Amino acid sequence: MRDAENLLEIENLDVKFEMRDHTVHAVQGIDLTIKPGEVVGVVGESGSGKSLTARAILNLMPRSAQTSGSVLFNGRNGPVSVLDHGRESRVMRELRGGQIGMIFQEPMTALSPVHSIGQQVMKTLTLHTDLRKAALEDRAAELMDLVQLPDPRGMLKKYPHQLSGGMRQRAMIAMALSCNPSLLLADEPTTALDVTTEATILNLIRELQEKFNMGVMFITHNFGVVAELADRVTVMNHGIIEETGDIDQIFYDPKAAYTRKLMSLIPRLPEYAMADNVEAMVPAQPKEASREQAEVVLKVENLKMHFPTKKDWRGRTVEELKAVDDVSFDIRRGETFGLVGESGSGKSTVARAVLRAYQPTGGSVQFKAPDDKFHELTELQGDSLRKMRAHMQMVFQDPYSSLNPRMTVEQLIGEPLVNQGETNGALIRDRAAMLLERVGLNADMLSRYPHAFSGGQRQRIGIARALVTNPSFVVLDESVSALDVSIAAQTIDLLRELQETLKLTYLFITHDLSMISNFAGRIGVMQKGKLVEAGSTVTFFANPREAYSRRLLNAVPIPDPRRARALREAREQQALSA
Amino acid sequence: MLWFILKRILWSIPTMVLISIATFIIIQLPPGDYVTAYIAELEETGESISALEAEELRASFGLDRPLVVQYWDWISKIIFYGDFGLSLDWKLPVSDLLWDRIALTLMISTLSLLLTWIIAIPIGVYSATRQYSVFDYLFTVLGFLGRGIPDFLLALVLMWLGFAYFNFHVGGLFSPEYADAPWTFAKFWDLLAHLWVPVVVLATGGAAGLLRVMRANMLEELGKPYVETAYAQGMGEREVVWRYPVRVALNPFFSTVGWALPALISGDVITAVVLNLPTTGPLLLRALLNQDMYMAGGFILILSIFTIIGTLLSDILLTLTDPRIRHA
Repeated sequence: MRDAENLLEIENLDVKFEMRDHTVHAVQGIDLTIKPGEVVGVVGESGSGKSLTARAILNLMPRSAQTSGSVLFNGRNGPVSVLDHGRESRVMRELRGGQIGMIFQEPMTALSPVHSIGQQVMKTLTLHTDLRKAALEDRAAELMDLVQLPDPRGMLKKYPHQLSGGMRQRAMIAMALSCNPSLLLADEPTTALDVTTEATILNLIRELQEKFNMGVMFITHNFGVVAELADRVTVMNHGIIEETGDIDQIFYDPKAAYTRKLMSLIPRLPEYAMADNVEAMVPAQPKEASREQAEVVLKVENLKMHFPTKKDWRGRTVEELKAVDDVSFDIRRGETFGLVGESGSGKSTVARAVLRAYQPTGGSVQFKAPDDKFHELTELQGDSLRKMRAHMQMVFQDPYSSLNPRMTVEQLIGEPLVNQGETNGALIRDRAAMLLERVGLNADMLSRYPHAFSGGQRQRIGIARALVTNPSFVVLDESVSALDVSIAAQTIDLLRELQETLKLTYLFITHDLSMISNFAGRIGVMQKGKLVEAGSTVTFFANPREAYSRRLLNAVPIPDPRRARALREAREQQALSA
Repeated sequence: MLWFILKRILWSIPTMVLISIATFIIIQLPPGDYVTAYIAELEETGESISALEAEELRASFGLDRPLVVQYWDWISKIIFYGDFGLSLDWKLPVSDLLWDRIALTLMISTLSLLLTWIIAIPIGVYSATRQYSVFDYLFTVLGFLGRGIPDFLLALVLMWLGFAYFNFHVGGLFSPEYADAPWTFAKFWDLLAHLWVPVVVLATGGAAGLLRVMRANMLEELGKPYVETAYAQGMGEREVVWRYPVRVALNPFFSTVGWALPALISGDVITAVVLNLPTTGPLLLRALLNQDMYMAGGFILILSIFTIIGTLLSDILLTLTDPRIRHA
């Protein structure tokens, strides 16, 4: 194993936490090597120990962690056995930021909110270089330029909240690369970003990695991202390594059963979405035919939701944000309408305006209630609105913050019934128990609190809560985005099964094109508050009409390394000839 | 930024007008007036005055005129001459009574606020960075004790200790021989010797509460990803903690400085009474008990103005320290 050519050698790394009555083995016997200039993808679901491994390389684990094994980093001044040095030691502080750079997932919270971008980048430089004053600022501006941020000098004076997510992540990368590290640790750096932004950030990381011949440890849960970037892949599960191999081997000939299972669960774009000869690949669409027969249950016409952003001294709006601008679509009984777009495109606002969480500033929303009549939702008030809410419910994105931690499962699921005026406790209890079993949990869990459940189970509770009033229309707002691959797959199956048996109509808001391509019958694309394209899923993926839709589609990372390489070469050829 | 401050200052003008009207209404609200209270007092001592005399008395204080006229009379004198009227109870100009005490109150309160921060911030930071350590537990216990013991009780204990063991006169702010003497260096020294007791008493209670707030703020900030980023940049712990999370955790302090100012004036009335401090608290209490309306009104008005100034200060401090507010 010992190899002078290796940049990083992790041998038999163990990390455990002693709890009051048990021990948590977070990382068990990990071996991992990274060569200079090599990109190693570390893939795993949450709790697999991948982030903790990266922290161990920097010796920045929680203080209660107990470690054994060795982490050897071949630095500029010879090899350093990381775990033998104290967390606060000079040796470690010189490595961090100086020779090992790290970028994090949340570009909003990973930068200090009260310091300017320039202050933060220059801080790293002052810690590790002799640059001062003007030279310091020159170098910082040079770095802004390196990560392709516009107006490098001006950028230094900006604060994180003034930048978009993608720009913040670029600043983060600039900070990590400021002292020419030989190893870059990237912990889910694109997970919080839109597909289009993700694609540009991945490109940037690849470019810089090649330019500076850096070793990169790229942690992600997304196989598509790995396929775009990695030379080798390590698959982790519950603190152990399931398998490590060359990228092609992992993707086309996975050895471990766990890898094979994950591979089979990854949502993929349909073949026809990537084929050159579309007609040959497009399957006959029975869904499309049945859709025409089903009746329309939701008619959205010229929906507008404008928020005032600036008022003059008389309180009149002088500037407004057109979050939803003139959006029209209809949804038929039993279908899934997928609403996609980048963050800030207004897709969630559409959902909230339709459900009347917001009072739309214009347009109409007609909903066919079980009484078989259309109701104008925008005009409903008070009691009639509350009654109507029984028929339309919502499942939220974050299973952690969307359940009140101080309410039992019974109270959580029963709450919509209580809001509808139901006072019979036994009835509420029975109904909650029934739904809990319906979503695959046990009825005897009714008296527990949300913290006793995993993310996937919580999302099931959220679904049960949405279904308790027997709605016919359910809005799914990124309802599987926060879940791990395998849990997301199970949740999708559950949603699909519920839709069929309960004849539910879904409005599915998501940024995940691969996932929605297998679920929705029709797709609508939102951009800057407008619905730029709407049509059948097949038509959309096979032949998107708008340039914006094509851009979205092209940005989706494909879990197919050969294809990713071919695409990249084609793009480079194009760039050369142009 | 400048425009923001100017706008805030302009807004405070109509706010003050409204407050002065509200103040005037409040002091008129209790049934009866100063004359009624005066008559009641006289009757207690067995004397009495006729209805005619009472009316004359009312007229002489201007209490018989319409409210609007009384209000205008009151407020215009304050604005144009700084004359808060005559204390009906003390038979002295309100401003003479007030300003003396306000200066002393401000001094005590500012010192105790500073002491509060000097104690609370470092301990709060320490407790958060070494959560569940021995010292964290110790400070937690002390914090709850400090919070739980009423200020006046602590004042009594200190007075007793000082009196019984150190032969030390701790009531009031001056030794009897200096109380009415003109300001000299000796009097100033005497003041300092007395000052530490109320300052310590007021600061302990405040610090105990504040250090819990600081600890909670810090714990929340320490868990944020940007702290990890700072470590990953190569900073040492001390630098990370003081440069990043402390700055963010102080924001709630800045935003409450505004409330500290009026609280400083109204002060800890009970403590002040117990310690026999010549501060504003006891004066306000007495004015309210005796329906001394000009006195009470002047008080409430000044408190309100301090509230407005304090809020303004908070706003300005926040825009200086937090770029997210500056650019909003």
